[in-house]
Amino acid sequence: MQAEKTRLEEVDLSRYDFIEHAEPALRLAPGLNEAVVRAISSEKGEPSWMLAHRLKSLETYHEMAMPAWGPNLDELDIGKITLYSRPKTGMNDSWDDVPEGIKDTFERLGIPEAERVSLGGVGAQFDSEVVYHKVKDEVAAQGVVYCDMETALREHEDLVRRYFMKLVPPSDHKYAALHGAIWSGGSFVHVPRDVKVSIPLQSYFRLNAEGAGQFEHTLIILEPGADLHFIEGCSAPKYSVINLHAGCVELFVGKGARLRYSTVENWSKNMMNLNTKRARVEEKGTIEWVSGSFGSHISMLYPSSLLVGEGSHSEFTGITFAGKGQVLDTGSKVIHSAANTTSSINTKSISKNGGHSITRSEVIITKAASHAKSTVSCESLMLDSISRSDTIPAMDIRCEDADIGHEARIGRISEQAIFYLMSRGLSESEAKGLIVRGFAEPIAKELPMEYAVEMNNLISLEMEGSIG
Amino acid sequence: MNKQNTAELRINTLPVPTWRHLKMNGCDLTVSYEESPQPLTLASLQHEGLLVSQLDTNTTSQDGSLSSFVQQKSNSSFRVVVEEGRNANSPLKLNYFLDATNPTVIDDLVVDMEPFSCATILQGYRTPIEGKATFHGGNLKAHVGSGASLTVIQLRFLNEGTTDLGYLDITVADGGKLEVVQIAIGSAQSYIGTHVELQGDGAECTVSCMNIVDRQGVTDLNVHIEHRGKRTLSTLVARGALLDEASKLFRGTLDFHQGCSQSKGSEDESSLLLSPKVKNRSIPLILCGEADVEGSHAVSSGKPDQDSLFYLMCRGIEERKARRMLVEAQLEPILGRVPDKKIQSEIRRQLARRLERDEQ
Amino acid sequence: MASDLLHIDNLTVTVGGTIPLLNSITLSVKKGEVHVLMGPNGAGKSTLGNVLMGHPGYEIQQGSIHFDGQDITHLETEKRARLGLFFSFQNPEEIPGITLENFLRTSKSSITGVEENVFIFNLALKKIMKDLDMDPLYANRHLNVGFSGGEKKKSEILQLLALNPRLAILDETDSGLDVDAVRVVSQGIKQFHNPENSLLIITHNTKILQSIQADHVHVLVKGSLVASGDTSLIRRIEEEGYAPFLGQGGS
Repeated sequence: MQAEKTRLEEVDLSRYDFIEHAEPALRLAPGLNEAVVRAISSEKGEPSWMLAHRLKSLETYHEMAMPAWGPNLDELDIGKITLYSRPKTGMNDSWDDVPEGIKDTFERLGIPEAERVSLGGVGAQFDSEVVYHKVKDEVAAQGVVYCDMETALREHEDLVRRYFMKLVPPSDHKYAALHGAIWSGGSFVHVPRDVKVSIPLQSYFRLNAEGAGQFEHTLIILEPGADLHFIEGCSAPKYSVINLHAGCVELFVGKGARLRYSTVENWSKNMMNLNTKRARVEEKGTIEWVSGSFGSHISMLYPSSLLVGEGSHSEFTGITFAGKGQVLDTGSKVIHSAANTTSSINTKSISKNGGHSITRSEVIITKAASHAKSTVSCESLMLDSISRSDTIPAMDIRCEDADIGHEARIGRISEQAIFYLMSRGLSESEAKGLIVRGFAEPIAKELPMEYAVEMNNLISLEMEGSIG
Repeated sequence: MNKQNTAELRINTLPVPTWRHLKMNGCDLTVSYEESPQPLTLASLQHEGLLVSQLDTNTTSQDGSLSSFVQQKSNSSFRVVVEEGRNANSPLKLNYFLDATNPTVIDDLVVDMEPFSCATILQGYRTPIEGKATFHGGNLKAHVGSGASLTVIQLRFLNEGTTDLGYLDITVADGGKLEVVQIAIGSAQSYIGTHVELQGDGAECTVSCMNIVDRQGVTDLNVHIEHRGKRTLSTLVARGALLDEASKLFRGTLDFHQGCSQSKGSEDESSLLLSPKVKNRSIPLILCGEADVEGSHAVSSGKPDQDSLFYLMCRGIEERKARRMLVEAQLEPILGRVPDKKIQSEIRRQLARRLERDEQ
Repeated sequence: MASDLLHIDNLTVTVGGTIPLLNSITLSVKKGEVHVLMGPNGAGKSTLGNVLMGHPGYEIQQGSIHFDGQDITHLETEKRARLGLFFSFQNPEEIPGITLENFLRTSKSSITGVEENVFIFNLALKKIMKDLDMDPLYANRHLNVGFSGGEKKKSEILQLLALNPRLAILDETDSGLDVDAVRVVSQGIKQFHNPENSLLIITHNTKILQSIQADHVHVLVKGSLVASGDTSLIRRIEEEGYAPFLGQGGS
């Protein structure tokens, strides 16, 4: 057996690796300063409170230190990043109006096709601005608002002002402050009371420009009793310089409402993905996070749930696949601050070919959270010994009347299991592939169908049957 | 009043830091202590099979670590050598009493287990039930040679006036076996670090911690087990019960280094919360740079299981007693590792006293 | 009724304040009688057993439970056990850290109010284990931990005989057992039963009833007692299942 080596290919991102050579209408010079912030704001013709918010955030950014933990971010030089790049088109509600090159990009990513087949609405962002947004008539007829953030700021200014960066304040961490200063694009969703949206909405974020950043803001508000599945996809072509993604997602889940937020992240391996996602859940509401992290050079991403209402519930299901040159520091946080709240965090990670996956989590049970229940389960698979896998779960329990369980396992593919499958006629590589897919399966089945199929394709296998 | 000294220490550092707001990455402490006479004489430690001598360490390091502090300030420093192939049948006991006349114990112990030797070392730290402020700082550095076997038992029965710092740093060579049993019952401010390095192939260790904390006691633990040799084996078991306004932070790290193939490590921590004002924090890390290993941890925290309680009550056992049975039952895996029956019953007595007070 | 050992009167039970699990149950068990409570899955049979023992998860909305003339509707669980009620769990709890023997001795001491002598109790326990064909080593194992389904049920029967209560409520003690374990359980039940001791056997199958002479049979459907009678009811259920009784339950 020693002579044979099985190689499990890392996630193949080549499908996403194509560059659209579209000249932007406006590309601000790299670097972060007040002039850039003012330029972005005036580009958008924003209300003055938003400009004030941006300038205050910029101040906060300069005051805050870099994180003293987590992956090394030395490669990121904000002075070299193009912070705003507007494509040569406005907002469209028909693909026919989207310029050829940009439209091709989304065609190749399968967005219009998915829209026709299985989605209730689609938003598509190209670099700094949303170029397409459309919601199906039947969904719009329910009173659902789904539009880009710039439109929301014009047409629903009160709502935006009430919720924007209230859950993730710019002072949260340095890259939240950066986001507050230079955010651009993203989606806004408002689902009225008791409205159940039966087909998912999807926003897709494509960062095409070299050495640039994407800072979209997603704001979703579910009124009491509402129900929504929102899908977020993202990708970029690979460049040899660092790109930056520092988006922000704020989800407000009303009383008895349910929101499922699914993400499949295929950023190219020159991307620094420093994203912030947070949900606030009211009484008996539910947030379900489903997260697949495959791309990026370095990721720091920990979707968080604040369970503020009695009986509210959070579920996090995530899979991370760290290959060559990748440091994926992912996980979740849950803060239980009301009685009878429940949460689960379920993660799987695969490390291979020098990749480093870190699963980080935090569960806080405050004094008010009597009868809270939380379970955390982390499983890691190491496919070779040049890779790394670290699990860093923290629990802080201040309520005796809470039930908290945590378990983690790390290991490699069981030889016994390979032997068993080979005894049933599978080759070694087939056996290993089957086992890795089996490992990922509980997460894959939570992903939207087309993504689940894709994830299985991503985990591709190659056998090296060499001697010695 | 004797002279008050102070020192600034940085201890119990988590091997890999995480979010700062959790305040779990380590402790910065300023401690104060009085000068105190030497608590134990060399003559009292004469022991068949062990070579015990006075220890002289010359270090001037100001790195803020507990071991440099203890090396420089200790009032009880010994070196123990167990010669090759020697089996010391009975344990070497170092019992310290902290009270008004002996308010400070700073003990430094170096243990050298030569190949194929075997010994048990018992360190006991006790205070009166109530009493004036006392200080303990301890450092134990040991090497377990190939095929040797060392058991370290540390007992802490300390009152609420006590500041208690401890650090164990033990390396284990090929085929060596280490067993550490740490039992702490009381309300001291305790900060205990345990670092084990399984260097040699086939090295093994078991670390068992029992922490019963009451009143406003604080327990801050940091166990770090490094697997370096092949086929190394570690087991970390922690059982705790928190009463009154006690708080506990348990850091437990299993650290598999590249090359430690076929190693296995497991961590199992469980805490019973017996009062609404307790604070229980836990951060069990697995760090891994080797594919061919098996590592696992399981952590649970909560009140005594309500279904178990109902089951016992269905058999006529009253609630208070049933609760106590469940607390004792969960500590059983650690009690079972204490070889000495007399110490076992001392532990049970200490435990019963705390639980009875809680029931009143 | 004063002569009843157990008297349940018009008992209605809910969980979470609203969902009714038992509706107006009235049932009496006299000294020495064997009652059988049958019904399909989810009828509320186990709920009744748990409520009779005072499980804190249920709320009694109306009605009362009397044991030997004493109102025990709101009595603490352990006091019911001391009065002589015994509940054999369908899924006995596993409790690591407490040996079976230590647990039973504590339990027996609590019930009798007299500290059991360690050696005498050990001898008595060994004898019962021998009668039940149980390996004496089980006494030193942690309570139900790692026991197979059959071993757990045997452990419950061992507890029944060691504690010798006045009324034994056996919840599905016969389900999922191999032939050998069924024999042990039947043997234990026979050994327990006498003119002073009564049994309430909860089951959904009829096999165990072949070896025990039941006095009364009750059928529970959707939380309501829909039929009571003699052993002919058992034969009827054997032949026709619960179908004829369905549709009668519910509130």
